[in-house]
Amino acid sequence: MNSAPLVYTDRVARRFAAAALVWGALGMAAGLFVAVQLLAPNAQLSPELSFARLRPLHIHLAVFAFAANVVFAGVYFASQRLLATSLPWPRLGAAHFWGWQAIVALGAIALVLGRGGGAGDALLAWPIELALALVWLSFAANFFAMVRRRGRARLYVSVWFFIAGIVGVAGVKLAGLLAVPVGAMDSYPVFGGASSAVVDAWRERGLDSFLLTAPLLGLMYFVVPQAAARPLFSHRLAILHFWSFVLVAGWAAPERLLNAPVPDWLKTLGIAVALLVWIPAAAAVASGFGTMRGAGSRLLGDPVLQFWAAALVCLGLAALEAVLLGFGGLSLVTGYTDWMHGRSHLGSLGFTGFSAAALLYWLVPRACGTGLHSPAAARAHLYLAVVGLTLYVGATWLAGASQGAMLASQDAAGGLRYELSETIEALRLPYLVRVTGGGLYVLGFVILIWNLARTLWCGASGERDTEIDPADAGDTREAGLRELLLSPPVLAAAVVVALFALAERADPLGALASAFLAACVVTAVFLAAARAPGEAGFHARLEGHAPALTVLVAVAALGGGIVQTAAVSAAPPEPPEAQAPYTPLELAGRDVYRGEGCASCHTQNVRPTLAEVARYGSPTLAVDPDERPALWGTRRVGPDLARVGARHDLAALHAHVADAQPTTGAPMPSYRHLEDRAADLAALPRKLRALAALGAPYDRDDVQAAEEAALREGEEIAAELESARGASVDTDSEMVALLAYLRRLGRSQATEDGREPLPAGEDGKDGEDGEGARAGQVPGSADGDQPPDGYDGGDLGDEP
Amino acid sequence: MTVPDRRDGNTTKLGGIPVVDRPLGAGFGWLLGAGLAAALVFWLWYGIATPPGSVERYFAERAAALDDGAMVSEEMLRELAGDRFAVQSGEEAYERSCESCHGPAGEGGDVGPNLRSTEWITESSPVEIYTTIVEGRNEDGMPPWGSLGPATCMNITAYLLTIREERDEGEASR
Ligand code: HEC
Repeated sequence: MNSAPLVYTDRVARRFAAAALVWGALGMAAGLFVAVQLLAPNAQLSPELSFARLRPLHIHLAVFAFAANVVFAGVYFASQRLLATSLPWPRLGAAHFWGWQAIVALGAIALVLGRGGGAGDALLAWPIELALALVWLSFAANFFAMVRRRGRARLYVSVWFFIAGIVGVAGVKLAGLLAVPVGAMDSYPVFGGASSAVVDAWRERGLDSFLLTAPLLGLMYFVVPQAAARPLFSHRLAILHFWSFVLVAGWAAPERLLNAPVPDWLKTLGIAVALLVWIPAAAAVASGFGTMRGAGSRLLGDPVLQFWAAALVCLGLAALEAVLLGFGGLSLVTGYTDWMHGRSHLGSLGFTGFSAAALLYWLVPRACGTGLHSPAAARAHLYLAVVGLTLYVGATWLAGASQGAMLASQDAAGGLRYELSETIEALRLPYLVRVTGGGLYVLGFVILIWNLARTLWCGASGERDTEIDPADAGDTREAGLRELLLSPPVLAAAVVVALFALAERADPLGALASAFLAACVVTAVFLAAARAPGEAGFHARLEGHAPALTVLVAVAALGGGIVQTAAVSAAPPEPPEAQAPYTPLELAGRDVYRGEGCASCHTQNVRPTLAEVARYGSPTLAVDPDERPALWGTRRVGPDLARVGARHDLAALHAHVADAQPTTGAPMPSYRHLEDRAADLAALPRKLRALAALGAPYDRDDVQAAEEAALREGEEIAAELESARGASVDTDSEMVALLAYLRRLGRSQATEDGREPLPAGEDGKDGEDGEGARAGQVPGSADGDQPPDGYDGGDLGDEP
Repeated sequence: MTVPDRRDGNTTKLGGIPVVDRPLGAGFGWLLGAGLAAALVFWLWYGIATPPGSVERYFAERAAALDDGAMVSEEMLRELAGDRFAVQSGEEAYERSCESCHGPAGEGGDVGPNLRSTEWITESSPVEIYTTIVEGRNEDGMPPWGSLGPATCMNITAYLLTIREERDEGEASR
């Protein structure tokens, strides 16, 4: 028994909170600027501040700079108290603080300079990712040392969520690091094609769950009972919440791939798991509101509880929406539109933003030993934030649904009713509302900054000794491992693993089915085994055994991603015909496309619906496994580019990339400056060698001749641009490389000859009007664009 | 600091925070069970019936749309044949996709038959021509061109209607 007075070190928490305020302001400003740019594409002060650079920056700042700093502040503050121990290594904590801020700043600079990781959101260049992972480990070290030295026998539910967050984010970072470096800042992921999409989806979903959600849920369990002065509503509900949350978080990634060319069984799995998303959400809402119940007057007067209530409402709404979209049909309309953007902001501004505000309003005064500077201002913040968020999400959902419906709208003859540009026109009003809502939200945040800065300023910053209640300290002996191993849930898990190993020999679907069902069964057994908190049931013993709990959490959180990736890698969808690898110049252009973040606005995936095929050409059946990473994107501000090389010749492509908006007014920024930047052709041999090592069919000669081949192809393109557009572009510029890549998209690359450019003026935007103009749209047609396999007449049913 | 409440039942402290042992209740259990069952049912169902967003589903949908004739009509195609722009873009599409087999002006080539004066072309209705372009003729080695999209296939049909041999009006509209 340990009843010596404890010192809680809150300096680290205070610092993280202060940093969160600064970064939060920057991140939100970037977001607001990006939203304005969609209204006024010319609002781009320099190429570095273009939409496609700033959008990743905004995500980076919001996730790693704002949310992560809030989480660190909360976890350092709460863990010491929940575990009744002081911070083991305050210096490591300080190193964590400075290291994290430095890396976040570096990452931000790299993103603005176009040196992101280029795969999905929230991935940085590999050295920065590596540093981030190491600093994360320093956080984990401090945390687990606290767990080890804890003054209480059993871990409270908050700590479980912290463990899930720490383990989950470590997994996400590890998955992001599975790449082969080819330069100081460049790398190619180990997984290609469909597998890379599964990994990316899992990483994104994992960040959402384990960084933006889990620790804040843990903090809710810490703060709400204290703020409401009520006991936690139900221990069993908390158990259900925790395990269902971790399982769904670990398995639900394919829910993001319903629109992508991945195998059908993966989509089916995504739908099934999406239909379970409501369970943890309902448990969270019931736990939170159940605990607040009876707090009556406090609830009405306390911004902390109010913010947390609002956060829970957002969590519930987001889950309902996820279930709705999970049915799949709807996501074919809303996918790639602003709807998905509204969805992510309901989570980030809604749940994460509101609970972060609640936490900060509660924590900062306590960490400073003072009161909140102005509770009235906090309430004003709440109103602004709620109104702002409602406008924001409402407008984006409306924009997305209406644009999706317009794009899918066909007349009786199968012709398309609306041009993309017409739908973009219709987005102006919702975009305006969105900027307004975002502005209100940011205004509220500014009030928070002022309020908390005043609080931090006034607060005495001395560390206080806290005497801990000896009755509470209890026995710190960890439960016996033997008892744990022979308990029903662990035995059930073992049976599951055995089943899985057997089923794996059958087919991926069988394996996944048994694995996931088994996971559900284990949860059910957990629940059955849960006893009253005072009794020594299985779960109570587990709560007393941190290593066992951590291992189980890791299995639940990371198992889904590993199993799914393995299954897809084992049997990836095959493209209809073997494709020649990218030429060196095309590869260089692809890296420009990645670095510039064109995927922020463009997808490369024609989904299999009648309307989409009419617009963009035959559906994308599979992505070449040598695509590292797959660039199919998540959002369409502009058109799909999967077959753009078949739609446009070089001259038209150059016109679109170099000066899109002057001609069409569409929100595509001008990329003329790429003509002045030399492509990194010297790196090509290294890149080809890395890709060859990963399995791409390049041989030694290709590698050696890479640079010359690129220059030769560049000369040819430059000459063609000269004659067709009178444009003189350097043969080794990034523009030429990018065009080489773009013109390849959508042409069959099975042979080397189908490369002649197509005649211009076939994109149906030639200024005709009426029926003729619409019918004149020629979707995805090219000599090389052979109908894919499975497309033969037999598929069309018997002729009448 | 905690307000006691008789309904709360047994309260323990964990991590310094009071925690109530409250059973979940049968209602919640049923809800949970129903949720799991629904997910399972959908899983099995889509495992058999192919999920939304599946390419299989698209092929079926397209075949159905063509079968219905909901997508094209005789009048529409004939009207299109009078539309300069449609015919022109049909001709361009023809040059890209059809010319290599059927010759630059539909006179036929090594692979594909004549599209101006053979009996088939003069006897077929516009929708028949359209359907053949979209679906191909497997047995004769004519690939399906549905992947070009309905608009293009309609334009090609319009173009073909303008180059086929003149016939009586009566015959043309059978
Ligand atoms: C802010 C969003 C945005 C970004 C970033 C962006 N685009 Fe676009 N892009 C658009 C829009 C909107 C259009 C439609 C313009 C039109 O219809 O004229 C478009 C059109 C195009 C087209 C013509 C496609 C067609 O089918 O007509 C090409 C090619 C293209 N973009 C390439 C790129 C490349 C390459 C990059 C990266 C260097 C890029 N875009 C970055 C929004 C964007």
